[in-house]
Amino acid sequence: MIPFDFQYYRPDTIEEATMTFKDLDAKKLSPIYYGGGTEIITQARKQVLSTGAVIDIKNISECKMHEESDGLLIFGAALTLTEIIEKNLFPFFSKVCRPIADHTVRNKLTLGGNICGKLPYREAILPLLVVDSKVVLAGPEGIREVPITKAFDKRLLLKKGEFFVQIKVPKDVVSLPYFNRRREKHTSVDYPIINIAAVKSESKFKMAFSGVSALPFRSQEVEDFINKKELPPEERVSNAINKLPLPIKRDQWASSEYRKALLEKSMNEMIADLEGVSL
Amino acid sequence: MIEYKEFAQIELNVNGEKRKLIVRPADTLLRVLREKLGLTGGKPGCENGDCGACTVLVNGKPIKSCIALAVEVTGQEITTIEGLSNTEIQDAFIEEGGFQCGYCTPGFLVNAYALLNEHPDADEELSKEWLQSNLCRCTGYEGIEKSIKSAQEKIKNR
Repeated sequence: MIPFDFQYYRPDTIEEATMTFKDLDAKKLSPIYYGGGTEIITQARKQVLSTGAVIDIKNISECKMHEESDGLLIFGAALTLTEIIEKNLFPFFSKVCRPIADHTVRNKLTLGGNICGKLPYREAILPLLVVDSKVVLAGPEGIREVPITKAFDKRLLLKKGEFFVQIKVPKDVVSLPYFNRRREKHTSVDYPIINIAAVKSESKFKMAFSGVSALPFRSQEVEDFINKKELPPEERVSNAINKLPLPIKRDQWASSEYRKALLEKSMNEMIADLEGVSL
Repeated sequence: MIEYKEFAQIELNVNGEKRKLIVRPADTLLRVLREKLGLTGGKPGCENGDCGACTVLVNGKPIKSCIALAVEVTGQEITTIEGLSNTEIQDAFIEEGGFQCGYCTPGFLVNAYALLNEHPDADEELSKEWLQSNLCRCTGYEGIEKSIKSAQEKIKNR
């Protein structure tokens, strides 16, 4: 049971949503946008989160968009992970979404919720970070479309009152060779100790990571070291790991040493897989 | 735009019946089903989206009702364990010993029902992927797996 009250709004348009946010914010209700609600409900129950109003974005057609249009794949923020997996417009994206949480949670958990939530993994963003995707954000000042590399730095960079509407991915990235390695401690239904998602584009690796450090990231410096093909794979991996933008974390699931070892192994596997070399 | 401020009168479509009730917008579907409608089949376990004892169907898809708001599912078809009486999956759990204490059983039944409805030919891998959403601390899962296979056969032989 959630031990406090809040108001519930389900707008039909983007404008209605942003105006409602502005209005509720002026009334000091600390509104939050609501997608699947899986994290908001559990955190509210534990009183880790408090709000006076939630704005459910699931009735907004742009947030439920799920189609190919003009050479772009469009994924609305209110799509459930199951919808993304089952329609499978972008197999690499589906593969990364498939082990997040469990099946019945994925029937409720939305793309927007996974990316914008407080949990630090945000795994659904990984494949979107390594292709030239663009994020559509809406707020009281209007709608803007931002390249993912500018819109996401360990978290989605939203201005006050903004929400994530959809993400657009160029259709041609579907044919890029990809690699994904996710490792958990006990069972597959668990948070990742490491999760690497990579594509090879124009002979170069583009990689994003979750679970390794406190927050997910993509790093140009790490990619520069991995792409120095004149060096042996082990040296490329070792140099890349030394340049991670955040320290390798330790927690109840794994020590930093174990994470580092898994990371080395997985990155070597990635090179072997995408460059077609044997380990 | 739909808005519910304090106590809200809503209508839920549960097991084919339209039910009018008054809820707080912050009430979870699980609590409303149990405490306002007396449908106590779905169980509060972790209330954290982990154990699956509260699983219900919304438009045929299994979800954990502890991580849904009642106001969120107005206008949608909700099916609880009470709506699955006289189904093959229920008989199979009894015949194959798919439960011991029974607390998790409603969640398993609802999820397995949805699985076999959507994928009548589900293989072991798919069954495991779906049923990983539910936890049982008595059976070791063997009886549950046998029950699902048995129900699958019963459905094919209808």
